[in-house]
Amino acid sequence: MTALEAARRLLGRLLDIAAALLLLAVLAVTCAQVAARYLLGVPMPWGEELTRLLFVWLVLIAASRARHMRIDLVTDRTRPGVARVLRWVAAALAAGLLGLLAWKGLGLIELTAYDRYTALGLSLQYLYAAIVVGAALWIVTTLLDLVLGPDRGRPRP
Amino acid sequence: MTLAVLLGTMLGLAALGVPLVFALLGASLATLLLFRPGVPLEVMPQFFVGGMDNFALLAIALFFLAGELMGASGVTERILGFARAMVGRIRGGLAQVGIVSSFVMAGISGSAVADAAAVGSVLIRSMQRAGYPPGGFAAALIETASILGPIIPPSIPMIVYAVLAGASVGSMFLAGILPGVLIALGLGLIAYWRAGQLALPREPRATLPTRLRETGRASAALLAPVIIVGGIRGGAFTATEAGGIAALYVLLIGVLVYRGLNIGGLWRALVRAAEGTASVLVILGASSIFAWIIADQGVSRAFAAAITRLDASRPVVLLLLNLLFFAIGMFLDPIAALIILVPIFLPLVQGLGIDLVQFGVITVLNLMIGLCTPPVGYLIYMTASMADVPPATVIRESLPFLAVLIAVLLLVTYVPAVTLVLPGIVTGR
Repeated sequence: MTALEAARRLLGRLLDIAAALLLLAVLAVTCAQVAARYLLGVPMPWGEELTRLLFVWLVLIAASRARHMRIDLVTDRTRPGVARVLRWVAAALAAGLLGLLAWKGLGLIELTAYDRYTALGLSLQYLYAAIVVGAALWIVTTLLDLVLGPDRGRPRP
Repeated sequence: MTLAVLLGTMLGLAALGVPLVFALLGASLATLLLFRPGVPLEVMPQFFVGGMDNFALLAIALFFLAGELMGASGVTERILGFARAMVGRIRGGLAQVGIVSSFVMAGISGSAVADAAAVGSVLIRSMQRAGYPPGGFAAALIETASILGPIIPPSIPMIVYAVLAGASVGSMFLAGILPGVLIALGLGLIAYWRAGQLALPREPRATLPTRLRETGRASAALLAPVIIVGGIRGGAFTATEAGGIAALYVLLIGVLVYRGLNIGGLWRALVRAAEGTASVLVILGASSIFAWIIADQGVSRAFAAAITRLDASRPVVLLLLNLLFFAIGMFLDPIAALIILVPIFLPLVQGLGIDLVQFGVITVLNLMIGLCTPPVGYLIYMTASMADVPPATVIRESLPFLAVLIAVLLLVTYVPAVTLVLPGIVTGR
């Protein structure tokens, strides 16, 4: 196994762990909200905002590892050379668009410096940080998959 | 013109094998640069994040998790055992078992693909071992029965619709029950008829004690939809909280009652649910930019004006909408199609006095049928590869089953009571 493949495996594991923990946290806060309301009689007004924030992070972290819906009618039927070119084009386009999302996401972080979640009190910057971090990681996994070929260790849908 | 560039770029990129999320983003970016150069591009990440930052959408992750946990904890086998004891004796035994299993699974999972994976992976092999003909019958049955997943509550596409249309998730869930029952009965009749033609074997008769035992073994799974729907409608919790409770419930019965769930299984379920959620939600995010551009073009008004000029009656408009959605569903993923179509047609539909909930069921069922139609029918290729038959065979075998789905779609379209009776009773309207 080359160093690059080892790096991809390590990154994949870390991303999986982060995504699983975020989902577990969303589940825990959601259930805690119901429990707080019925068992303790104390509503958690910040629970909804917290789970939404965690959820956006969950999606954007897991996105770099998820299998994304695509139509492979054409790519499956062309010559291998053409299919390879199409794969490069798709990856370049993906990396470009994600780069734009990350770059303009930085702009949003700047714009929302003074906006806060009402109940949670946190800055909205934490929300837009998710797109910057998520898109950057997604670029890395896209390029790694392009160079190394599809990741076979990844769970099937 | 703007719209032609937007849709053309999106379809062109998608056809070249670019993942749908990037086809949507790329087309939106190209359209903004060409026709709206003044718009700051910060709108791209803003809408992308904004499209997923919604409390109701969390339910998607939680119901995904409930479905994954169900597979990991051995609930699927209990459901199959229950279905076998109940309907295995009927002509077309294992096929009927497949329909009943999909129906029960649908009460916990909200996605057709998850249903097809869980039921198909076990049952298609059983059917082949039991001497079913090598054609695509087994695959076609599982393919069409798995449509029940998003029709019977809980349902991921119905959550997405409810968020887009401002409908109540609880009402949407209730509205899906009767159409789901009709689909299951219709598919059962077709399987009965085809079983006679293909001379399919039956399962041995199950004795009453066996039936009771299997019902008991599956009871935890059978109870889940009651808790979910009852809790939402009774006002005890929101749809999102119901998702959390469903996931926790399956987790607890998986560990305590069925004892099939260990740490490794829980971990895999979490990772797979996170990734499944991500692949749906990034499409939602990308589509919301797309939908914003469409809204900016006043497409909705143009359509409404065109329909008014046509002076068509309500039944004709509904037929035209169904045909259009069907054509789009043949090519586009249901979630992406929902996000693009619902904002365009909602004002028109409301203007005609059609109920939001009924329109939701029409749209979701219509687009889900697209998963079973070529050229881009994910379920066809999935079940064909499970059964190891060419997709064309599955498509041919699925035609009578598809006729059932289309018949129920027409019923839902033209008989409002099919969708509105249950929500009406429960909310006391």
